[in-house]
Amino acid sequence: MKSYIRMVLFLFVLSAISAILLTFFALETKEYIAKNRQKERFIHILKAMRILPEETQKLLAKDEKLKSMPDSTVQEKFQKEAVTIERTEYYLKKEKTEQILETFSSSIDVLELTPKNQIVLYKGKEFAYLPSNKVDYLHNLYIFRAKKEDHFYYTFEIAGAGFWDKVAGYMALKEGFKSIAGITFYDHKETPGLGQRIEEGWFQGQFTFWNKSIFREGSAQPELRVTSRKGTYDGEATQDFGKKQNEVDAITGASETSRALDRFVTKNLLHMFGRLAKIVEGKEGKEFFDTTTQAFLKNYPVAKP
Amino acid sequence: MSLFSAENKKIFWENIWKENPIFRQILGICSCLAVTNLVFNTFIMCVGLIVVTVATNVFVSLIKDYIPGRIRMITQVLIITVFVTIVDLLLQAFSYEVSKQLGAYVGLIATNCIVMGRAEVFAMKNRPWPSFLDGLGAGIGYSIILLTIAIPREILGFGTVCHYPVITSEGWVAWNIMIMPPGAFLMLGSLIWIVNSMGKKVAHEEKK
Repeated sequence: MKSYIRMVLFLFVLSAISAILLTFFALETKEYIAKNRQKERFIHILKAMRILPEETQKLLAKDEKLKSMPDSTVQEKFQKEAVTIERTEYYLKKEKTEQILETFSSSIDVLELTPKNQIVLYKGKEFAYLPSNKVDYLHNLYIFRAKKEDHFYYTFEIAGAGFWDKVAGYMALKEGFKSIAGITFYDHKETPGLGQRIEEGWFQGQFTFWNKSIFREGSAQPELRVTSRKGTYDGEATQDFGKKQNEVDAITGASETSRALDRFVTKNLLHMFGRLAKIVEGKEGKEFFDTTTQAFLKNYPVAKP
Repeated sequence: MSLFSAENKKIFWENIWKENPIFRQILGICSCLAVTNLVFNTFIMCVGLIVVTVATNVFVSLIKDYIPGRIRMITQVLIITVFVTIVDLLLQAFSYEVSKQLGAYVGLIATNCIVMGRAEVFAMKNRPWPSFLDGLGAGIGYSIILLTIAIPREILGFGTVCHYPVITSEGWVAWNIMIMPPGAFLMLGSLIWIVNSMGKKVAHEEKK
């Protein structure tokens, strides 16, 4: 009996010491981790919309690899686009946190939509410096808006179950939501060398280089397909292979990752448009969305559950 | 006994070569196969494992007289998990990119047999200083092998070392197999083969 009491007491004391140690470290590192995660999100939002800090623009302009790449044929142009996407992410990650926050603050506005359809509009500066406990990426829908060369761009998170784990990224759409301005992935655990290739420039570049749309021709419902039908870009693209405007190329050897994207991107789009269609005619909706996008959302046929 | 007595030195050096956890005891193979495609990531993983092994060994050794025999394994696992979680938090806070690239493997240090093995076999029976040396030796022994595998894997797989390009030839085609787990199997198998052959040769000469 005495030995049992000793065992319980020992485990109790050890667990208490462990809990104190872990709580101390968790509290001490909490802010740093939150800032790192926020910086990562901002980097990908900026990358999706190609809104770049000056330093990144300068580094891209000086990049030896990019400078040496020819761009006379379609194939060469596509390859250059793929490398540009990869180098953009590389240089953005090298930027100091302050620089990323500064660029985000000066170029982006944010719409926050809670599960109860409450809307909060933020200027970039307000949002960038919000305390981490005020931003709830899990439950709220966030739309990021930027204006570039007199055109509006809207970015939102795309996330879903991949082959091994959650895949999360951002997709930027041009005003009116007709075509894709950029796509990027910031979190995934897909197979190295296979599903991991969603990070590569050729995969992300095909969405923008071939002016892909999220709609099938003649349809008002989003339907973005990641398909192995007809030809592969895979860094060697010489033509669009007759793929439809809402079709992008799957990744060879990563059928499950491709199928997952095929499934969840459209699902995300349907969900987002359904929610935005309900708020677009409100004061905040009219303030946030440009007229073309408002017209699209007003006429959007909300799918019946 | 002085801090650096012959016996303490032996404890440290034995884990590095004679009793090396990877090619003598075949422990810690999972992470060895998974994280050795980039030298920098491997290095961070090694530092993490050294910290966890040393801290666990010292802590277990300090409280060994109070640990009830029937729950010693649970106690060791709890201590290991606490140190692994601390390492994971520190990585996420101060080396976020590396933490993302290492992914689940940092958490899996908790299941690394080297840590548990040293705590159970050595720290439970020895004082803190020899336990510290034992943990340090085992960690460094593990690290040497991991880095020996990582350097050729990164060179052949990416043409770089610590992201610095070492193969810049236009005609160079990266060996994709080297950045995937089969590449690590090839490297580890070859390494164990070389080391065992060397060991046999030495033993044969000693016999003569």
